Formats: sequence, C-alpha cells, structure tokens
Amino acid sequence: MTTARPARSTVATTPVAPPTSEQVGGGPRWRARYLGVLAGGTLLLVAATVGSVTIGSVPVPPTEVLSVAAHQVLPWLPADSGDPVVHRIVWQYRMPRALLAVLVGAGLALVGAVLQAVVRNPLADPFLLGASSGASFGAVAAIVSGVTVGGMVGLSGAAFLGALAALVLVYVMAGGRGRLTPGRLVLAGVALSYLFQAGYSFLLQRADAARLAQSALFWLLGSLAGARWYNLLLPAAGLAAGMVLLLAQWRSLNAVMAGTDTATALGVPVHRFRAQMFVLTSLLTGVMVAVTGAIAFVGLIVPHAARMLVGADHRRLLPASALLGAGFLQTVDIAARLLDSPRELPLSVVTAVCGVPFFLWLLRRRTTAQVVG
Amino acid sequence: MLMAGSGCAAGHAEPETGATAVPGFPVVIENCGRTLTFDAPPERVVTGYQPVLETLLALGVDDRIIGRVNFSENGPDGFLPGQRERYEQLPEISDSILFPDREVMLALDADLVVTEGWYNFSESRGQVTIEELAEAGTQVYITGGWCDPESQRRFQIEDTLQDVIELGRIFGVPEQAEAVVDEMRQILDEVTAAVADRTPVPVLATDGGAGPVRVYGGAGLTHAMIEAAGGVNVLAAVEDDLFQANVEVVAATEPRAMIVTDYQPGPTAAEKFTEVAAIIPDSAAAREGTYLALPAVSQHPGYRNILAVREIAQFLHPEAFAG
Repeated sequence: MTTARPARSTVATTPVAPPTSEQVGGGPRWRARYLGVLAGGTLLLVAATVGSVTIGSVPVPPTEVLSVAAHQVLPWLPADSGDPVVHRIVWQYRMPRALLAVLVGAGLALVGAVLQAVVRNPLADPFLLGASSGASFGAVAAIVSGVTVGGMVGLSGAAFLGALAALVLVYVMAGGRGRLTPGRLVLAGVALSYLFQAGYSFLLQRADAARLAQSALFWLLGSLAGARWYNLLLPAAGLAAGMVLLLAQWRSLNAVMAGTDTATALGVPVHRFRAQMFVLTSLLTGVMVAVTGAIAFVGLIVPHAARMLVGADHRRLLPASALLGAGFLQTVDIAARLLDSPRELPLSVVTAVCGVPFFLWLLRRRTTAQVVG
Repeated sequence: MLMAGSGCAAGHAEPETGATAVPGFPVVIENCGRTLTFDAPPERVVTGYQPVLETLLALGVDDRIIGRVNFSENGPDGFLPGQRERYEQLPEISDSILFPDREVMLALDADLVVTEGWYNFSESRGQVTIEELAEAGTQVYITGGWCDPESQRRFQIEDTLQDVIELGRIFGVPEQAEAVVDEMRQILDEVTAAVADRTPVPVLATDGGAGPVRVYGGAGLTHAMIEAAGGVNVLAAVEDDLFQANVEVVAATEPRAMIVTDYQPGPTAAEKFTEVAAIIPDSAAAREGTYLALPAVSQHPGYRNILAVREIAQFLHPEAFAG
C-alpha cells in the first residue's frame, strides 16, 4: 500500500489545490448528516439482524432464539429449551447466515464505492471487472465436473480460484504497457466477463449437465443459504483487512475521483494506485463471491445511495456504504427466505425488487450531478 | 441399482403390422389437452428418457422405434435385466437424455414421439416444439400427465398404468398392455399387502445440497412412490415436487430413512447423503446411515416407477419381504 499522500516531489506537475471539503461533501452540514446516517444505518442493521435470526421458515419463539444465543455466547447462563432441533436451527443456520449477510453486504458495498471512484464510472460495481464471472465459472466448472468434494468448501475454493484467474487476466490485458487506465480496466473486465459467462453457459448447456443446471443457476444468482460458521472466517478476515486498507486510502480515492490530472497533480501515483485498488477489491470480491455466488445490485446501488446521503468524501462514504450495504442485504435476505417459504429465492432476484423502488425515490430527490459524484 | 428378478421386462407379443384394415383403429386419445388420432399403429417412433423406452419394451414394440436418447446418466448397469442389448441395438439420436435439436428431430420424420416430460420441447434450447412436430405430421404422447410443471405435481401412480393402457391401444397391442398392467397391479398389490400393517417410516427424499437443499415435497411422483411403499414423506406439508428448501426446514425433520436421487455427472448418492445427513445429525437416518440410492430413471413416469415402489418398500420394510 502506498501512503496516503506520497511526497509531491516525485511528480513533476504544477501543484493543484486539493478538492475542498465542500466539493467532496465536507462541512458541518454533511457532518451532521453523516452522524445521522450512521445512527440510522446502525439502527436498520441491528433491527434487520434481530429480525433475521428470529424470523424463518420454522417458527421459533423470539425468547427461545434469545436463550439459545445467550447460552452459546455466555455458557454459564441457563441452557435454552433443550430442543436440539431448535438449537441447531438458530445456532448453526440462522446465526451464521445473519452474520454472513452483514459481512457480504458490507464488503460488496465497500468494493462498489471504491471502484466507482477508481474507474470514475457510476456504473462500476464489484462485478464489473470480471471477478464475479470468473468465480461463477470456477463454481460451475466444479459443480458440473462433480469435483465438489467437501460440498461448500470445494465449491468456494473453485469459485475463488476462478476469481483469481479473472483478476490476473484482466490485469494482464488492461495493463499492457504499464498504464492501467480506467477505460482499459473496464473494457478488459467487461470483455473477460463475457468470456467467462460464455464458458459457464457452455458448461451448463451441455446436455449431460441438465440436472445440475438448476442448482448451478441458484448459485449464479447469489444466496446466503450455504452460510455455516466455518465459512464466515474468510469473508470476515477479508472485510476487516479490506476496510482498514481501503479506508487508509481515502485521500487518494478523493483525488482520483476528481480526475486523473487532479490526482496526479496532488501527487497520487495514479496508475500504481489504480492497480493496487483493483487487486485489493478483486480479492475482496473473490472472497465474498466464493461463499455466496454473485449477489447483484448491492455493490452498485448502495454506494450511490450512501453518496447521496453523506457526500463523496471517502472518509465518510466508505463506512456509510459498508453499514448501509450490511443492513440492506440483511433485509433483503429476510425477504428471500420468507417470500416463497419454505422455498428459497436466489438473492439477486430479491435485491433488485427491494432496492430499485427505494433507489428511484432517492434518485428523484437528488440532482444527477450529485448522483454520479 | 437394479431390481433383480423382475421378470416382467421382456416383451413377447409380436405386433401385427402391415395389415390393410387394422382392427381396433382408428384410435383417438386425449393427451395433455391434445387429441391424438391414429388410423394405424405408429411405425416410426422416437422415444425420450429411459422410463419411456422401458414402458415400450415392456409392450414389446421395439421394432417401431427409430430413435432413442442416451441413458448413460444412470451408468452402465442402469438397465433392467436384458434391456441393455435391446437399448444398444436402437439408433441413438442424442448424446444426452434430452432430445436433439429441431432439425435432427424433424429429419427423423417420426409419426409418434413418446416422452416423459413437457421440458423436452424447449425452443430456447433449440429443440423442436410440439406444434412444429404436429405441422410435420408427428404426434406427441407425454407420459405421466407431465404436461407442464403444475400437472407434474398432480401425478398419481395410477397415471403410469393409464399410460400403458393408452400406449397399448395406440400401438395396437391392447392384450400385451393388459398383461403389463396386470403385472404392475400385482406388484403394487403385493407391496400394499406387505406394508399394510407396518408403521409408515418417515422418509426424506433429496437430491442433495448444503443450502438450499434440493428435496421432494408432498406432491408429484416421488411423494406418491413413498406413500405407496409404506413411507411417510417428512416434507409432505409442502405442496411441491422437487424444490429448493430452506436448510432450517430440513433441519426440523426427523427421517428414519432417506431416498437419494442417483445419477451422473455430479456428486454421488453417498456424497449427497453425507451432505444432507450433516444437517440432521440426530435423525435415525443420519445416525444409522440409512439411505437408498434411487436411480433418477425411477423418478420419472414409466414402467420403472412401479418397480421402484417395490424397491422402496423393500428398503423401508425389509422384514415385511423377508419371507
């Protein structure tokens, strides 16, 4: 990681004033707003998480959910009802699932916010640069070839390898002469996405995979249904590391958002910075997608919503995006489990249905200039 | 996974062909809301998935079949006794269980297509539609009343017997059909008698998955087979055939036995069992490793699902068949 502001002497351009705090959304008005959004976002997240562990296809009284959780966390407390089935449902399935929603929702929104700045494109989301289609290809290849020994672990491993492959390919394709421009990154990412998409569609269309296509399709549309305690570890570590590393770059992100020339003038080694951000966000996306499949929309819309609410200063935008992303995905997952209970709906089906009306409402209230930062 | 000793597989009645005025014809049959009319027994028949071919072989009409799909998903041993040789003699028109593309199907110039499901005529997959076949003079008979997803959920075991009677009429072999139906009825009666006084065994039927889990609810063929075989489907309350269940719904069940759908490619039945058993570790099925790997072919309408009812009954109530 570069330091936030490398020595200016390394860049031979005329000095330019950094974007003022008003330009990127500073000032007392935004500060108050930011605190309000943090409070509201936290409230939403807590309420949705409590909802997520108390609501399910199998009715469990909230008091029993509470006693299971309390007993697990503080073993000296009186044990729960003693029904092992209820205990397993709450502790083995609902809890990890609720936590995974928090991690993945926050992670995808965080990555989306960073990428929108790095490639300066309002359409950027975690899947623009190929990581998710690479992961999808890896997962489908594993499902179709039947090598998913170990169930979710094997599947996640294959998906992560796919995401890594996509990362390397996009990097090589986009960075041909050492200059990783946003245009090249986006084009390389989109082109490779089509290639991977063609790859997994081919695997699924091969007729001997007809029966497997259905389960693969579910995975391709994203789901938190595979959440277990053991597969929370990587997303948690990824999110923690990503949050720290990306937040440390808030100044540089503000600078590149203002434009390559501005950033260069401010002493940000733009191409190297972009490459680092690309690798970091792709890895983070890979870790998330490997567990849940490609959940659409969260990483695209939540950062925009956050930007409208707290402004474009990444010091505030990144935490706000992560918080809102977590709350949003948690809410959406409750819907995905309940709308067609006891059947599961793929998350991407629900994210858009739940999120678009809210986003359009938000969009109408703000001007376009603010929307695209 | 073969049901040994099912001596009902070989067809013996030589169908009469080439007669100028065929007795019993024209035959008119209602199938999936379409009226099928046969002035004479069909001579150029294309068959879909294995259960359909097995039904036709039981009727002894192999000589009318000009094309069949590939059944390798059930493995080299996935045939009823004596049927592999007959299968291999028939021309293969597709390298999978699905029908080939539109042009190949039309070029076959069949007068009848018999298949087990509505999903075999997918335009988006480049397959020929039932309407296009009709224009080309090819009629389509769908077995089991699997006309669409909704009617697929309404399947009853009786539908398989009804298919045999109707196909017997279509092919002009009603006596042979009668004999096959009697045989199937006898198997079902034997099973019913054997399990009558037994306590129904709670069964979870699954196709694997860690979350969501692919399971069979209380509607459709698999559920009907479990009920007929002296079992009780632990997910009977869900009005569905195969569906993607929330993992906690599965966690709340306590099956004493599992039925695991078996086919290739993909995880083996043993792997799928292990995956689902981990969700219900305290159930008797998981503790004792009680599961039946049921070939996917048995879970489609056709002659084979009657045999599968017996196989499931023997699995659930071995003591009832000990004699």
